[in-house]
Amino acid sequence: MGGEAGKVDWYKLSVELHRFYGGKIETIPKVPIRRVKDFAIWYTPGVAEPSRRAGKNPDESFEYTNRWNTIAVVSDGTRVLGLGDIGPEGAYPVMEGKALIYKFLGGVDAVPLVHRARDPEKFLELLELVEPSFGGINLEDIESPKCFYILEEARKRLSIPVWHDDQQGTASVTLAGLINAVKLVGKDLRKSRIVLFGAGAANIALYRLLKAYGVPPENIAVLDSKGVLHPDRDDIDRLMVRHPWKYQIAIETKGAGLRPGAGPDEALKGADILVAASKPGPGTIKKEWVAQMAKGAIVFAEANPVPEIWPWEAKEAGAAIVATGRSDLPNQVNNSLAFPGIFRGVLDVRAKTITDEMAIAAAEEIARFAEEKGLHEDYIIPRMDEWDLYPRVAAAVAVKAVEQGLARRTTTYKEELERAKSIIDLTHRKYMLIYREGLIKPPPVDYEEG
Amino acid sequence: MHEPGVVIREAMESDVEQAARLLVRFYTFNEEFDPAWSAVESIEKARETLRASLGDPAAVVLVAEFEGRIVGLARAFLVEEPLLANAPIGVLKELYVIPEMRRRGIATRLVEEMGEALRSKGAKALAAEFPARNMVAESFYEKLGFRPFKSVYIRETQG
Repeated sequence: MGGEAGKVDWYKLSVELHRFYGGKIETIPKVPIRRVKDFAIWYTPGVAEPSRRAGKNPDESFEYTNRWNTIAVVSDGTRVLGLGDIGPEGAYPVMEGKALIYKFLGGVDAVPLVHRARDPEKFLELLELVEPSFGGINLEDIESPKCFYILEEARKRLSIPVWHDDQQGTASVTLAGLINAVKLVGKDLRKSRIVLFGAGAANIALYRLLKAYGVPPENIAVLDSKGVLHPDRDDIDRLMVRHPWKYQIAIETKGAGLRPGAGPDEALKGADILVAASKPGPGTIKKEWVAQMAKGAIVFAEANPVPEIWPWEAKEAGAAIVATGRSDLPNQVNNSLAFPGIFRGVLDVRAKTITDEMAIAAAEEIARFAEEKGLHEDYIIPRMDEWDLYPRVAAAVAVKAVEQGLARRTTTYKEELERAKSIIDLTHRKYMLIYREGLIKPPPVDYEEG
Repeated sequence: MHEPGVVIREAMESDVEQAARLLVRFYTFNEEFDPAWSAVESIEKARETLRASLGDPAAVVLVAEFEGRIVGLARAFLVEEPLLANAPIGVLKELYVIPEMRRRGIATRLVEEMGEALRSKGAKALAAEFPARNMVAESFYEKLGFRPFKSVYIRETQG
């Protein structure tokens, strides 16, 4: 697996640099500290008064502390990247990476919180117990189907936004890509036949988002390793007990008109769209299957590090548009396009939750951004370095939260766009200043650019 | 809630083929709660026992039919229990509704009509059997006015 993305050995380089810098983030004060006397403001005795007020009225903790801009990146390490159950310490470097991206792209202060509460009830209790520290929660790398229950319950029990990026983040960016892909091939997403291959966090969330977007459930076939989710499947009652999310999909989609037990080969016959979020390829999705799809077929192969089918194979088989999860290939379905802006937006209006409609608003904004730049088959979603995107996502999400009556503060698109821009811009300027001053050492080992 | 178009009626010989599948499903479903409920997954056996019940005066087999298809099944037996005050008891041994027709009140209707059928056969009470850990069944029957009545403990015989 080493050096998967070209000639660079990213694994080796990453280990050396993580060790060299001792992790990736730190805390730095953001208030003036001119002399020792200033501590009487920021700490005792002065701090007692903000403390007293926040104690009396907990909502004021958003005024006097950095809570308004702070989220926790929470994982029990039960499903880290493609590595599986490697525990909380194993998850830590990933959560730090997430925190880094939150700050750099969204100006959001994110704190890694890896823990041993694997039991879902304990996990939820932990979230409830630490809620006062944070303005939001980003759940990450939690095994399925536990992650569905935890997200659902946490959204009910907490009054700050809870987001599971492996579900909602991936689904939002995928939806953005699909919105543009169907435009290019001249189809209507709501009338397309869609096959979701793999019934894990990403595709189950995508199913829900597509439904909320207006795609009739009967148009969507969802497949797991045993074939299409179908009300007449032999293990349907087991699913009802063990995996109610798959069960519900089976009932709602009625198996998308396929026979019970139908596999991907049958499901893809005449399908317009395939979204694979399953096991790394190559060869997980076969060329012959793609060849059976309708004209103008859209194939998203999102597994990492190797997509379920290579883009060139999918194109040879007749696919019109292909997206993957990889940064070195065109059309990268990258969660980072969504989550920094989404949390920027919800934090700025103090939203109570992040609804599917808010996720759709983010997806539509991401799609619009790419469309304005000019769509073509190798550009259906923005690239991560298109910095103007993030404030726009924030603005779209914030406005939707206000519209839905879920924001504690009102705003307009224009106002939030400016606020998000200035917060993110300030982060960049502070960072670049420190970097240029040499206070962050240049890497002792490096890769070759270009 | 009454699903229009769903007919509850006594099973006939011509229903056996479809009803047998539902009977097997009832057991494989309950296997989820206790492996001791795992069925001998023989559709042939299910057909046999259903046919036997159709001709048994102490048995009632009801089906729910929707658009020509059997979507639900209930089977009960009259049990004498000569020493019990509320005997004879109608014991509902199996109840199953296919997934896509659930949450439409079909199981409730099957139970209610089963109660009627058994009462006319002389039953003073209606009982239902299901695995001890099946919370879905527990809350379903409690909603219909059932209460816990007896416990059955089990262990495998020692070789």
